[in-house]
Amino acid sequence: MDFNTQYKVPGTARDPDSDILPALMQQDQRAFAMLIDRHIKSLSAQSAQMLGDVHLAEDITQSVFLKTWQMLPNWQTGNAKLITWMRRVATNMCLDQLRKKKPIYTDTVPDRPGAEPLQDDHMVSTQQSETMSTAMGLLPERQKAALTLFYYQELPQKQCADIMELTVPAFESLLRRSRQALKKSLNPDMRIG
Amino acid sequence: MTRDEFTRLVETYGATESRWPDEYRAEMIAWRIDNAGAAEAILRSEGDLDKVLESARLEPGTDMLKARILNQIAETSEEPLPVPANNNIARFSQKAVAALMLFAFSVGFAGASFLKLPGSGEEPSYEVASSDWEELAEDYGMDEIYAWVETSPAP
Repeated sequence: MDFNTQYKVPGTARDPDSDILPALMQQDQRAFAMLIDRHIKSLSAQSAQMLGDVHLAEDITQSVFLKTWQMLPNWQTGNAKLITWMRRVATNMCLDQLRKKKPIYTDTVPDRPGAEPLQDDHMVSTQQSETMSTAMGLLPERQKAALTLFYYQELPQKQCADIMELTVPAFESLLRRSRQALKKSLNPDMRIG
Repeated sequence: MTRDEFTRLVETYGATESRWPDEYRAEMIAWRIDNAGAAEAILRSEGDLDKVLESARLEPGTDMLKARILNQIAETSEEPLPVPANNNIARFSQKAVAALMLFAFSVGFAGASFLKLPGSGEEPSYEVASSDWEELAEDYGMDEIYAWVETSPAP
């Protein structure tokens, strides 16, 4: 369906959701279903990666879409892209959640459960994934957000910086520090570096 | 590009060329080709971390979630719309009604207190209604009542 023929709003052309944005601003539920289809996977994955908890990520994603629905009639076109705003909301909600259950940071990753020698590639992969998740869980929340947005969401560094409300050099610095922290904590197990 | 610059960028963006930012990529690839030995050592170290990062990728399912969101949107849309933030008249009338109710309550409370409570220093009343006197007189006789009043201590 071409929503542009039904609703017209100037200043929406550079937004990747510009084709449905005018309809969204009128709270058209069919357009909103399309918006969900476009972004639900990446927003859920972003929250899951940051929180390390798929169920909590679902709740956050649901809240992000609800906030978006409520905000849409007041959306100011021509400023930010809608998806950038949604990612920012998701990032901030995840940061709030992580601060609520902040872990005690240590210099090393906790001992892995069971010290038997690894048997095969699958086990190595599973072990790596678990150790990596633990190491990610120990990172400060903003470093975790930077890694998630750049590596897992595969967003350009400018967009990551925009979502985190940082300058590009500040985001680069945060990203580099997060990789270094991760390498440091993984080094004993993974022999990285 | 210097070795330090190449190292710093790979330490930031990883070893995968496709993930290098557009504005650096051409220069980084050129440096890697010109300095194959040095570049390989830097890229190997960061490439290992890239692989481990990839192993922890989460991809949650979203089939039920979409239905949940749409249901919630539908429920929200059926609720009455909240008063717009810029509707000054509506906001003023709400405040005025609240202030009026508070004023009426205060006046009522103060009036009730004034009527019911004795003033400070005022003696409690021991007055007896005339109908009560008649009942007492019938039950006890006036002489007995006068004798009781005279012998009772003053309140």
